[in-house]
Amino acid sequence: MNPIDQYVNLETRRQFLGKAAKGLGIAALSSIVGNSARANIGSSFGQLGSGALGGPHFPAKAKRGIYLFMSGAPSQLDMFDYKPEMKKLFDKDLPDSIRNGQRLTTMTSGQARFPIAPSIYDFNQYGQSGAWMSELLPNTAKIADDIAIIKSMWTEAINHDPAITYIQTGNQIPGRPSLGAWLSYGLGSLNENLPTFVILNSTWTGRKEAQALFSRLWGAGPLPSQHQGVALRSDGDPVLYLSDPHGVDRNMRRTMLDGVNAINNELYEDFGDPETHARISQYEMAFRMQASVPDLTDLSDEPDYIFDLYGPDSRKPGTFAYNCLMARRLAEKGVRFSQIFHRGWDQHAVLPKDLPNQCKDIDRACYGLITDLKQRGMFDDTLVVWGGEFGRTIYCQGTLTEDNYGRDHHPRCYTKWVAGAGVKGGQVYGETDDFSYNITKDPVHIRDLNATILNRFGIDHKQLNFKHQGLDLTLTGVEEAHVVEDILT
Amino acid sequence: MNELHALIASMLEDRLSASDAKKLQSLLENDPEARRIYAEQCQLHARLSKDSSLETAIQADTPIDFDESESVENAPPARSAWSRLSSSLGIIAASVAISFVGIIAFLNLQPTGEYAYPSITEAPKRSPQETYEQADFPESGNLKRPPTNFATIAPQGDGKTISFNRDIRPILSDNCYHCHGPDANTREAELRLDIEANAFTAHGEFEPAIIRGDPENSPLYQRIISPLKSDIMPPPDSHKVLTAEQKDKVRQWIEEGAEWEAHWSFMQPKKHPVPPAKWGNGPIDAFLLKEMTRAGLEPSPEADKATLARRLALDLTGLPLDPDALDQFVADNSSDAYEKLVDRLLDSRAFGEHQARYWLDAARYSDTHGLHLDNYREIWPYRDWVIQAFNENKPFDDFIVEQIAGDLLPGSTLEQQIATGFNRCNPTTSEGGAIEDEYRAIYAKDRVETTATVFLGLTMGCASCHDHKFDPIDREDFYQFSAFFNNLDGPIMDRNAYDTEPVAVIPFQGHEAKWKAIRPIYEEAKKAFDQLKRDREDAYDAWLEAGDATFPNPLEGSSYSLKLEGKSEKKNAEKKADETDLPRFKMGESIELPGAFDKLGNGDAFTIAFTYKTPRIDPHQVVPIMSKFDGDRGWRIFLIGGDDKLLDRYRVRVELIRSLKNNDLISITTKASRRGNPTPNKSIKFSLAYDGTGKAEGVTIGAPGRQVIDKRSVKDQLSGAFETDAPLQFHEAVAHPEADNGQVESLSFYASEVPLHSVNHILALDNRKAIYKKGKEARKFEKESLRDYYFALVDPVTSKLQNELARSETRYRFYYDQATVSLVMKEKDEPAFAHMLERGEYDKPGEKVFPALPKALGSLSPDAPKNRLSLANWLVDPSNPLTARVTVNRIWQNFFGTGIVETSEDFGIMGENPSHPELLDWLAIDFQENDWDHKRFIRQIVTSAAYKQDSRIRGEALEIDPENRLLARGPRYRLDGETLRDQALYVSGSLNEEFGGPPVHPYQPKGIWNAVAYSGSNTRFYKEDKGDALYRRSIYTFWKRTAPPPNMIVFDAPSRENCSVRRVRTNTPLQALTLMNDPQYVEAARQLAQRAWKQSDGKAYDSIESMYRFAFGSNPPESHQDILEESYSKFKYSFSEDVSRARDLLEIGDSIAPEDANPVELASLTMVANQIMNLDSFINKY
Repeated sequence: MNPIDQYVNLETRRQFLGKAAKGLGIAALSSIVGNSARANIGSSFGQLGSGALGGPHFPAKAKRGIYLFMSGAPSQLDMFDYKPEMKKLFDKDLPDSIRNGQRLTTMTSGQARFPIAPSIYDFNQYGQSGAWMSELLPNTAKIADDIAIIKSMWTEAINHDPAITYIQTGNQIPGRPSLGAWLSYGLGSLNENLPTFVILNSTWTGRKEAQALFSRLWGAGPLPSQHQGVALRSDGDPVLYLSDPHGVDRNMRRTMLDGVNAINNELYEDFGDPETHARISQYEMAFRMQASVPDLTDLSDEPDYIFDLYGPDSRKPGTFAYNCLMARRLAEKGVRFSQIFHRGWDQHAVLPKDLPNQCKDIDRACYGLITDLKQRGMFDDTLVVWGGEFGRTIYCQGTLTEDNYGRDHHPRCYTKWVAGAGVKGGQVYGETDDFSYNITKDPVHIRDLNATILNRFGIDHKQLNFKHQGLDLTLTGVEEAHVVEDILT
Repeated sequence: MNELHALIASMLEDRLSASDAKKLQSLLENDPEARRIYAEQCQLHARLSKDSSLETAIQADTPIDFDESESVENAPPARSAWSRLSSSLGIIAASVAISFVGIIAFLNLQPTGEYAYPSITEAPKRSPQETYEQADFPESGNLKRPPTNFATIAPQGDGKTISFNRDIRPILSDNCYHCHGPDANTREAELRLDIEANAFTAHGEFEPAIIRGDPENSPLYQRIISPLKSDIMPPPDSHKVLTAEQKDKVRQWIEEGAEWEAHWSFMQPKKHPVPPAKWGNGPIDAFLLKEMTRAGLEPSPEADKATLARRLALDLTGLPLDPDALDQFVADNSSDAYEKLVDRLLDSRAFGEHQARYWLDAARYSDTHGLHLDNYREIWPYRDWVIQAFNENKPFDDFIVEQIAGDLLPGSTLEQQIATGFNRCNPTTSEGGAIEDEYRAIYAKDRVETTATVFLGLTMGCASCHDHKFDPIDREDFYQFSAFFNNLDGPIMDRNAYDTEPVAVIPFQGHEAKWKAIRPIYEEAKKAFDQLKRDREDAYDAWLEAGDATFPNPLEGSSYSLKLEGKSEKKNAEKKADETDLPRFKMGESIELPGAFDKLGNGDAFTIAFTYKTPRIDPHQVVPIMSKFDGDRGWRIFLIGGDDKLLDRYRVRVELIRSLKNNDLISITTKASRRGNPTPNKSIKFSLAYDGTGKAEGVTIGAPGRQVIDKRSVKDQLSGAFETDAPLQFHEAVAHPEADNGQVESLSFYASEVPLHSVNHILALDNRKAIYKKGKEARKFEKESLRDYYFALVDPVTSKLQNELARSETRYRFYYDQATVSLVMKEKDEPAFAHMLERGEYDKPGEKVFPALPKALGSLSPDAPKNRLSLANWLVDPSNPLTARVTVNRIWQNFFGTGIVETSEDFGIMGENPSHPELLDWLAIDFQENDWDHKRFIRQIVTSAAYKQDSRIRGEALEIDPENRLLARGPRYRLDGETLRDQALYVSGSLNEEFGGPPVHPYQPKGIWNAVAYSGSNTRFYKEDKGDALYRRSIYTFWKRTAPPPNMIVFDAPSRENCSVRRVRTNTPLQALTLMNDPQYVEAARQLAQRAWKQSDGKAYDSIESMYRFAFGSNPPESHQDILEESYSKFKYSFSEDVSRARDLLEIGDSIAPEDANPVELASLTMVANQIMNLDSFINKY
């Protein structure tokens, strides 16, 4: 090409790009370079609409999921697993036949005796299923017929860090992808303006000394990092670095991006590196997120009756109730999976002082969330999971009195509930012995629960894997996992 | 619609022609109703064909004859419709398939449409990962391009079409080794297909599996093509299915004689002759050219000098060249100009800082423990050691040996000990209920995995529960290997302390000689004293048994105690009775002391002990706690806000004053230190003892409790007594808004000097009595404090020596607390061993084993000690086929983006084969022959013609070699987070190039740590630095493992929770947000603008050009300059409308914008700088 032609060509392209920069944005840019740039939109948080699987393995019941994670291990004995016989055994020793030599944490393994601490709370039956719940959960009681309560959850881990890492990633040792990251990787994104997997951390009012969380709990492990959970913050920018710097407005950012895009297109012409186009799309998506995320996190468009549904806390940013409402908004906008963490459930001592506050934080909001999803017609394709990393002991840790006790970690049995997305509501699954110490019927390992969660999303847990260091990693690990078919419709 | 139904039906019945497939596709694309019907049909079909066991049994290309014992349950074959479509139509259908995936994706998006379905995209012949990798998204966010297919573009081997290592072993390992591989527990029919002898010979009742040249009579081949479900291999329940192509390959391989090859990486590297080449300058280029040519590619021309210099500088130092250096290089026409630049960069200190970064990922280096509390851990001297080692060009074999076993080298130096921090970087815990044995097993596994990954490229961790499924490593190998690391002389629980033993101590500058003298004295005294205590254990037991022991209190009758009003009583009822009688005081008020105690300071010895709840105060703020002072005479005690960034410690000041106006006084301030001083918002026990001599050395300050902190005498010029009649005044400390006021909670005076070691016991005497009463019921820590009390005050033998030991400890602590420590390895006295844990479970210890190498890889010579040093020596021994290969591969990857072996962490059977095996071997041998010379090796790489190529993608290069594995063009890929940040600081002229030292805390959004941290963690609150520390290189940024720096993680930095030798490179909007809005980058943009503005005398367009030059070293192309100028005008217009906005922007960051600059212009330039720093070319190496 002779230099004059070259010049003319350059000018033409410059003019065109100049126009593009004035507002046509990405559509115009992509028309210059063909479809590839457009095809890439949304790939930032996983392939839009599909993922590594190219679609679910079988019809999915859940389009999206909300996981209410009670970090610290809530006491099943004071909330769901009603053991009336225990009243008679107050301060009696836990029979050896029940303990059966099972291991204890080193916090109580040195205790001289293991006195039984019956729950001081009143229990009643609710709903058609007659599920037992304690007085600490008056609102959850109202949704008894919507949820499936699993009383026979279990895990091997007996301390918080390994246990929460285990249930979140399928392995007690850090480094594996988390549940949400697997979903993002396997299924891709449902929208082009928001992350696929979102984390909401909540304030709490029970035990002040709360267990730590770790970013690995929503990490991507060896999966590409776009699948890691994005923590949506209630203080400062909802997404890190979302706001333009002070003094910079949207127009200026647009100007800035138009210039960047124009030069990047020249670079593409020059180098022919497809990544350059991917980058243009990512910058455009960032620009859209700057508008869509604040819209999403601005709750002022919610009517009062909605706030009333979730309870008064829902107006306070950062509370569990606020986050539940936020999770519903995220679900509506096509966020595939959000996980709310609520800390402070580690009641080693003064349980009667702290547990009521913890329950108060979450009870109304759980009811509000389920009810809200139902009234919006989203309940049938939204999976909701509630619960923690393990349970608590029937025997008392520390000094036992009539009105005061504490409970140590107990991995042998505990309670979680699941709802929505074709989960049979109004049932109680699994049984424990009189001491809520051992499972007597239908044990559900945490990896069974994870297999079941994947199942709701149309995924066969054995077939969602990632090759890493010669291993086919899966969420459920090498041990066999079973979908809990009985709780599904 | 009829047509649609017919098409769907034929698709589901597997008889869709290519033209019909296209028809169906077009219907679906254009008609939502058609999509709905399609969705329903497919879902229905999927439901009908749910039996997955049947599913896998059915082969696309072999008819199934069912055994008579089995019945057909579901009439329609249950294979997914989709895979049937693609398999029956071959390539044409496959290409349509890809667009179908697109349609399905599209369907998913429709808000009203049916959601998904599922099985039609299921393709049993492709794992999800393969599906992912082969999906049609060439510009995907994670840079996953279709992999280069070496089988078609770069055939290797010796003329035969089938190569065992390349073609056959992957089929066998993927599909057969699970039952016919190294793991004895899952082995079937005694057949091993990983060992040549076993595969070709009869064993037991079984015939040889393979008969060379005769596939028809080879059971292996017959079984994989068997039409019988009961006979076929792999068996249906394995969910594994061989493709027709794979079966053909096996047949062909057997026909060609079934030549067996050992796995390449376990064979000794061979130095292959360098192929003749007309291009390049050395073996690297020659080997590369051979494969390029074979694939039909030609090398690219050399990149222009400016581009090359930037690439080189970023690769060697992690920083770009500054424009002057670049000009100099461009102007230098001498033939060795490039080599001179290489040498200069290799010699710069930044070289080590950049290379160390990669190594720290591998070593999982972090400044916190990583589990549970995730407290601060001090091991940064190891990080500095790594940097230094690279800068000094320590031979890489020494580099390895010192890290594995530096402590065991004869005459081991402090540096060599610090080097062993490599194996102390693993995450550790001290969680309340954690069980030691469990964590001992976890730590050992981590060390095995890390060592095996980094040096051997092996995934040994797999063999902790079962024999390795693919590589020749069995459980015994794993536990023998773990025994090397199982002999650490230190606790399992890390105590949440920064200095979990064993540690190397690096004395504070100037303390070296004293530390050297004092340390052995104390340690020997401590050892002797501990022995003495053990000897006196019987006496202690007797005292315990007695049940009515006395509790000596040397201060009985000469003390006076009082207590804060309103302070809640202790829970312990017995204590309550004792304490309720005490006189009360309030903060803010003054009280009179009785008799003798009112005359403190009259020349007699005295001790004051008190509990003080510390307020949160500002750094260096001086806050009075209490005083007995009349304005000129008396004594006073102050608290001073600390300045220790890491642990936020306070200091204490004590003044004994005869006359303030005459300067007649003693004034002592404790030294800043990390351990002895108190922390905020905690109840701390303080003590002040005075021997009455009037000398500063007669004053001892203790806090907290028994911990003696060191003092620094500011003034030591007291001439006599200092007693005064003034009342005792309690001062209310002005508290930080977030914290309570400081409060003295209880206070005691003693009319003599109390030995420091016993103050704590005396203060807690009631508590000791209570524990004694509890007897066996007492908790472990209670028993320990009672035992301490006994030996300190009761036992007639030890109590006499205790004071001397305490004095020695005081001196020792003084130096220790100010010193830096670094976690290191140290062997116990007894020989190392490990138990083989059944299924890897800590509570199922089996046979005891001793350190040994994996049997398949070698063995230690019989006279070599069974310890880490022998292991280290073997790692770098020429007989080891792996270490050098793995090392050169990993270094190679840092320059070209991908290793010659892409899976740089796995050289085992499941890892990728090398793209250039002969080159890899040549490099490995050459590296060893040249004394593992790291810099020399890097020089070889960067002076190769391959490295110097232009990175533009020409012609068909993208199709032939999308991932650039053949290197027919220069490398071009995104820079790492650390490099991006360092580059921004560097071009803006604000990089602080200070070397080494404690980690720093640059800008980080508020609440990142607090949101997840344990409430009692000392890394709960992130305290941003001010000034210079904000601009250090990223390698010095504090790394908290459970909440790593967000602007690094977003660029795919690993969390450092485990070993990582390869980073993925994604491309996401969160990265864009970081580079546009992170204050670090915004401030850097402003500083770049300032720098250019100064250089251009405030001329805007010149400034733009100058910014570009700082950023890229060269002048902007005219078109870029035009675009930037146009943006500038727009920014200027916007800012002029509201100058306050310009000022807002300029205020971002800790540094201050120059006042003489026009704010509108500077702000506009700042935005242009922000633009430049977000350009693809700035973010990439190219």
